Amino acid sequence: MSDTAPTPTAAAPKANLKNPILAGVLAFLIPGLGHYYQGRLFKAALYFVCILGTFFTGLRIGHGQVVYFQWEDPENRTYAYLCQVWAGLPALPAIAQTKFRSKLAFDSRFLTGDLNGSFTGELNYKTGSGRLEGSIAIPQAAINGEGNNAAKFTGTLTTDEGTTPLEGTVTRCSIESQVAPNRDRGFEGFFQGELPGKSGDPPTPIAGSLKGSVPRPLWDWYEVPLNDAHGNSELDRAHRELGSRFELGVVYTMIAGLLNVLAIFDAVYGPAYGDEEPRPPDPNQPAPGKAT
Amino acid sequence: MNHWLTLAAGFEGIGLTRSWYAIPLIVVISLVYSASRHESSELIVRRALRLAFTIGAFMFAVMLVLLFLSRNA
Repeated sequence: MSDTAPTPTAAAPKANLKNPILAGVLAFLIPGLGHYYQGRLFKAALYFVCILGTFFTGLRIGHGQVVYFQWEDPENRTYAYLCQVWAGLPALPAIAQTKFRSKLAFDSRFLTGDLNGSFTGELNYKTGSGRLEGSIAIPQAAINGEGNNAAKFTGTLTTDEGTTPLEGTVTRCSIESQVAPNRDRGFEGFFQGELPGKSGDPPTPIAGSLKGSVPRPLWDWYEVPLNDAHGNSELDRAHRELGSRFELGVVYTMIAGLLNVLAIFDAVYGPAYGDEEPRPPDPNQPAPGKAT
Repeated sequence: MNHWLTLAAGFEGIGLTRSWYAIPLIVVISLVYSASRHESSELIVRRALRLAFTIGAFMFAVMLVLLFLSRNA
């Protein structure tokens, strides 16, 4: 057995580690950055592509719902995050999302301010349906129920007959919470507007139910906790929707974090075996502890 | 190519379609582990290939054992 064991003396790394502590911190923050700082470009590229590729593939498989931090509720602690966090900066927003979010941001009954953004969805009216694309302006009062404020839609309606410009107001509005782990923020209400008349005809009134979504900014969906406004876990919903993809995503992201631990050690201490192949001990050399 | 399709269909038939997710993980783990052991890029790639093959063969052997044990289930 000892004939094939690697010799510890062959482990001296030839790489220039520069400032190992700084390299370790950089390697933690962004996989491969510590090695780039040390001038070890092949390893920098390898760690960057492999670790971040695995991490974001896991996030993609799990529809962005597999990396989040939850520690206050003992029954729903995310122990997986203890591994995921080692992926560095891509995993750290999860802590901020849990620590600095107001509970109102998880409540679908409130809008924390006026909302203006692009909108895509569908309009179902008396004589048909069509696809809506455009922009929408939702005053805070339209959601929070203060008065008769309405949202305003401006864009186009696409039906089998073609695409026409459309403007109108949306009342009885409801919108999903500001923060949730997906990019589309659902919005619906009752639309009333006018289709422009063809070749000088008067405009045609149109009314019906509008349903669609406005995009959430990255900060409102990236690694947000799976909680509702009352702090209840939405883990069951995520499992229902994703099935085994949830576990696959968790495993991918955990492995990415754990692999970066190896990369951090490599940045701080150098490679375990150095440049050399592990060699059997030289039979001509005296064994350690047996002085001649 | 047809062999791969046949293999994929066989995996699907016995409910192992998700096993394909293991392949990129095996490759990545092998590369990163080998990179943390060695400095030379040539040595890293060579050792990673060997490790990937070892892990793959081990997992395939375990899969065969499990399939054998569950043949009547």
